[in-house]
Amino acid sequence: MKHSFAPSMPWLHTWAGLVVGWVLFVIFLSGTLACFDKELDYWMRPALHHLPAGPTSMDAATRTLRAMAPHAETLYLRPPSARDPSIHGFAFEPDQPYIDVAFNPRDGQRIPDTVGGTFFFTLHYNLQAGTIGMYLVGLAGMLMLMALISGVIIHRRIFKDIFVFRPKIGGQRAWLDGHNLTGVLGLPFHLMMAYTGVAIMVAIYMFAGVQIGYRGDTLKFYEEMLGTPHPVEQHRPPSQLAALGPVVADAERRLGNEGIEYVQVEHVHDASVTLYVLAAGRDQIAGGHRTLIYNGITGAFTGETAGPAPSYRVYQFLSGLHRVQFGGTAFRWMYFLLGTAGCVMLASGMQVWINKRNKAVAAAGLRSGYGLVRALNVGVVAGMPLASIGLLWINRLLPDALADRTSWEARGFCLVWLLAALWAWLRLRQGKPWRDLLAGTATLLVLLPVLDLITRPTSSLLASLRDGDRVLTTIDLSALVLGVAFAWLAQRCGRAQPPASKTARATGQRHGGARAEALPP
Amino acid sequence: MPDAYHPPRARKSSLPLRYRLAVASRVLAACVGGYYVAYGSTALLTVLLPWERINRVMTASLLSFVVWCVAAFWVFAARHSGRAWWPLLLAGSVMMGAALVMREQGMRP
Repeated sequence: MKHSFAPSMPWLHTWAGLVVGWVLFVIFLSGTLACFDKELDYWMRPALHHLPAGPTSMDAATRTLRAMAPHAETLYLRPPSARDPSIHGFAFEPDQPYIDVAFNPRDGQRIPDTVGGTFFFTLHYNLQAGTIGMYLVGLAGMLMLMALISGVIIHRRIFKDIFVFRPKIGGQRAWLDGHNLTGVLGLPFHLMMAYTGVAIMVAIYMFAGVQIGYRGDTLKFYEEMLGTPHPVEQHRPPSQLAALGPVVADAERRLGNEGIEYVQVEHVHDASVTLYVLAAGRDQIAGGHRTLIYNGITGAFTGETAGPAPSYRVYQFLSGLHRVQFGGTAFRWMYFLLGTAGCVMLASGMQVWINKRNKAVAAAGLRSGYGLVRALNVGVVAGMPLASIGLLWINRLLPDALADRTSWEARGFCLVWLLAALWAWLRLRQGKPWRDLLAGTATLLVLLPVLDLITRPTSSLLASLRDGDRVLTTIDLSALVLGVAFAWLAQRCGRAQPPASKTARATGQRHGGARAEALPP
Repeated sequence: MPDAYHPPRARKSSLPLRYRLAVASRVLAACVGGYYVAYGSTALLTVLLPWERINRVMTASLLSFVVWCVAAFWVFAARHSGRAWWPLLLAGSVMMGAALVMREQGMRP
């Protein structure tokens, strides 16, 4: 066979796909769940479920946040919005962990801590592993982009593939059809998400521009990018901090239906203290671009910033496409479904890889690279949904007053996942690890409303149906629907497998290894 | 002849070491070499593009991922895995060198 561009594409697709397949699966699933991060956050904070009507106390929340972070130079406060009734506070202190807390909007007091829906968001962009995780995610994103484009080149019959799904044939062919179907249907979405995903972190991943254009001066770069001037320090303490309540009210009036994203209190300990109010702009893909400026001592409106540079607006558009803060619930559901299709594409793709090498797998045994791939497939693909629903259970089971509650939730998530992966690995030789884990996930999903009824009767499905709490109702009902879906999958995996080696030989293997997916059945 | 993307026809339980090394080499070239080329192109475009500095930097940076992708495709289409490496390193170095030489130009506001 001649060396040329097209035949090398299956090769790239196979290897770029396999190398980061599991990492991508984690990124996909956590990203899919993070479509509803604020809703999950709300579910995980029962303290917010029966708030009395009343005014919002931004100032009490600010006092609580300042007491928590006495040395922070900058405070961020997010006022309540349609999706999140709490006030959120963010602060950085030198050599301290990043502060991200929710306050009761009525009295500004902290409510019982939880990792919240943000857990999945953080898992999505850095695998909960800090800077190293962030680079790993970036690399996985690039390899995903490569695997997708090579996938397109492989499928010259791309439109035909949309209409081909033959689960009855079973084995390899069904997996491959499933991979093609979900891959092709979701393709524009996945391509967009892969590119915008790496582009969101552009300033961190691609430092060359800052290095050459700004001699590495990152602060100067951000200042020109955002068009927000940095207040000049006066080296004396401020006489007072302006009341945030009236500032927020004034900003709401000026911004109209653009709404407020958050209030930034800059130079808290200096007389130059300044308040920036960023517009949310939820009716635009790129989000808001206006920033109002208020004097931090008197609370007087002093004007608006020049606004971001045009190229930054392009960046905001790309990042907005990825983060789907526009368009309301309908768009978030669309992203959720397409994300789910992406998870299926990855899971079936990795299954294709292993099925195609069936004979080699059998010959090499479990203590080989093949055994590792099989164990990772079950441990990640079936283990992570189990750990994710496990997190919601842990949230309800841990006592509110537990010190360091968020860490215990995160540890619980990891523990459930590790145990699931270990179980899968032990059952690989004999038994049906897929069925076990999927059935476990189905059980936890279906029983979630029951757990709610026992631990938090006031937040249970019955109560939320009665009170007309749409968010809680939707989450509990979705858990039931997903539970039934997982039970169906578990039941299918529990059935006797068709003689897989035979189907694999019939479809893939005789064409020789990795190239087979380019060929017609 | 078995080489990088034509695995040997005889299905043994394990693939030859040479094939495995070729796979590793190309994946590494696509990641590291591809990034190097993308880095160089960002630096050079920051100097060469006509607009204000922030717009030059942002545009060059956002385009870098496309450059990276093209470089990676080139790696996998290359005739031989060893030959995939040096043109990437050369291209990246030339662009980065040119950007450093014209650094003052790149700093213009």
